[in-house]
Amino acid sequence: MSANDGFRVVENATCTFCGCVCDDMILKVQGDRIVEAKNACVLGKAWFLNHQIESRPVALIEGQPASLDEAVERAAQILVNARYPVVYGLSDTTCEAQRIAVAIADWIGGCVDTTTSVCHGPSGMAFQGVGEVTCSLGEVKNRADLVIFWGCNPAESHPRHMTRYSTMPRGLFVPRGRKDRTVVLVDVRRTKTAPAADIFLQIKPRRDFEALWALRALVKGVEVDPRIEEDTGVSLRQWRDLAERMKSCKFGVLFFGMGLSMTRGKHLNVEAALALARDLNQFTKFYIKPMRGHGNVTGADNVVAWQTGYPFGVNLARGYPRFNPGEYTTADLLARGEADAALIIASDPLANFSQPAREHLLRIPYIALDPKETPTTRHATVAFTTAVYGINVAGTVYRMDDVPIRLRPALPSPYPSDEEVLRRLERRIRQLLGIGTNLHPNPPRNSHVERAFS
Amino acid sequence: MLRLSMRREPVVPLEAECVRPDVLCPLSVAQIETLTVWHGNREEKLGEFFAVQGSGDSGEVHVEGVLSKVKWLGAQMSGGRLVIHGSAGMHVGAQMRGGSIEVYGDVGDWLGAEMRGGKIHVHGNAGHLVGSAYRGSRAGMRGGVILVEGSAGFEVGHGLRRGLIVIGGDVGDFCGVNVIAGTICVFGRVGWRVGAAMKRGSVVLVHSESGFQPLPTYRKDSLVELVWLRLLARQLCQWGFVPRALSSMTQGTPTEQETGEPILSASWGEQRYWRYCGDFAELGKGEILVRAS
Repeated sequence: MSANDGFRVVENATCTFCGCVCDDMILKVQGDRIVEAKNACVLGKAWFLNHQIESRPVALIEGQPASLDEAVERAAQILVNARYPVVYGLSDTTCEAQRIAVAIADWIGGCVDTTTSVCHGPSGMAFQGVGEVTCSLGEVKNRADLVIFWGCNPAESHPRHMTRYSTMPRGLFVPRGRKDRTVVLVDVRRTKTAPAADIFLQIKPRRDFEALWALRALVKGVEVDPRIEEDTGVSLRQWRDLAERMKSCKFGVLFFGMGLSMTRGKHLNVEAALALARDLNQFTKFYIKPMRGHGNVTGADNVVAWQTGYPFGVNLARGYPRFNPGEYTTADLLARGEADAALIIASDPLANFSQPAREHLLRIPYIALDPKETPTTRHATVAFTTAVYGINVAGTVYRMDDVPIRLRPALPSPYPSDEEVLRRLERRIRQLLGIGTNLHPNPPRNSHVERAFS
Repeated sequence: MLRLSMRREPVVPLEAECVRPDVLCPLSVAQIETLTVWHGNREEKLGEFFAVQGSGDSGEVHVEGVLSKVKWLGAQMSGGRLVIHGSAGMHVGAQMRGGSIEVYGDVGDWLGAEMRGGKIHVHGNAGHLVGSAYRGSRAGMRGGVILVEGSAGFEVGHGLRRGLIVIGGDVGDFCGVNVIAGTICVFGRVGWRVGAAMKRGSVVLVHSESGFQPLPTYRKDSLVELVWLRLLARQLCQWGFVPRALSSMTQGTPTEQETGEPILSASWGEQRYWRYCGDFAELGKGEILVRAS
């Protein structure tokens, strides 16, 4: 950090807007505003330059301003008294806060679920079913000579992905950068990524599975019915050409987005893609990675996985983790009217869940933590205003290729961090449950619950 | 006969895996009422939710009430007969090994998931993943019979390894996905991608207009008449299975009440079927039998 002409410069800051988590930002700070964000893409610039401290109360209880202590007390009471609470969100906060959120879910015997369940949750299920042939973005930069984007639009959603990692940079084994690479885009419409690709295959909507399945067969040398053209909108000759390119490249990588994981077929689409990448390793080096959206959604998967053994949709009601997407994922258990309380951290389910799920969320008491006012915070029983991670708060986040990166905050905030609020909440919950602050590693949870209510 | 009548509706999901004949029948009413169930994250007594009457001498348990939030009924049971009056929640008969379950109503997802033996007969509809594998498991149902007279959701028989699943109505996408072996029979319309990644096993589509679209990795093989289909059809008649799709197909013909005969004749087993073999992206020893129109 250095001072210059009334400005403060923060070097090597990290942008947490998207899953690229670019850590080469040079931020110029004047007063309480960031006035310049060098190296940032259009999304990163909007993220940094539009940041301002809002004058909102630190906490609201049923819409009325309250102190942090009062809000923590009310929130703890709600969660401790709940029989089927859910802890949800977590993708836009630090790993340190995520870790405490999982601990809270464990103490209160609830479900813990992240926004992964509504974006790349199917990918998580597919990883479990097939396995993931994985590599870091650094390997892609230095080695990949065939890059396939499937059902994603990095030019608009991850603008620096192509320039920093996947298509443009010169690497150890691709010294001429873009000239040494073949870039393929498979999508249902001609997006802004299409001009950056050498080959664009426009397939029919919802026909990804058939296309990937045909590619799998072609790679194995199995004859494919020419009807594939009618099914996918792309000729068998083009699929055959792509299969040959995949087999003959030196280092191939397939990046897939929600065009694969959230369209008809969901996790089975991703299973098909993962199986294709696995099969290709009989011929060459081939890898596959999801294009993760939110800044630290990959961290949420990692933290929940190392704490419970599963990445999302985990139920801890019986004191041990159980994983069942569809049963313990928030959108589903809200839509079925099952949860009786919720703790929502850094996400906005009232803006994007289905109608039955939103209606049920409005019926139950819930706590929301968010730096901004959102539909979810507006209707929350208890709402906390928190500092923004990456801008105000330090911590750890994971890049989309599971590489942890440290944050360098640029500005202080008058609001507490998610981690601080959650830590206070966890402490109060433990007090209510009669669990001391000197933690026993594995206390018999249910007996504590009984003691608290006897 | 033991009768469990719901006296208090659960507010949040109630996990009652103790409701299985082989556990309940040897116990007295007082002992049954003290069995543990999980109401959300709290352990409570079965007697707080169900009034228990009768004795278990006959090995038969009847459960009645609003059961849609009650999970794991009959899970892991190994004998006896469980009759559910009303619509049950998820995981009915999951991992069961023997005995029979009859449901007069609908059931939730994961009906008979990973079951190994016994018979389940649902007179209503079923949710997703009938007889399937739980996430992370290699194989789903490994033996036994599941009969659903109504419709079922996605991924019927996901990872099926052995056994028979019969769906009397429509099914969603990916019916028979990842099947290792076993038989699935569907009387209604099917969704997309039937038999994807099937290694061995048979999927029979009885409806002459099932909406079947073969995957590009399947090949149309031959027109066949199969003896085992006749045997299957006869067996379903004996079990009193009334597929909803077939009864709607036979509208206008004399009803069961009028003729005194079961509405389901075994004639569908005597028809000719197109045999599609695949899935050649996998082992390719599976078959989909599609009724020739």
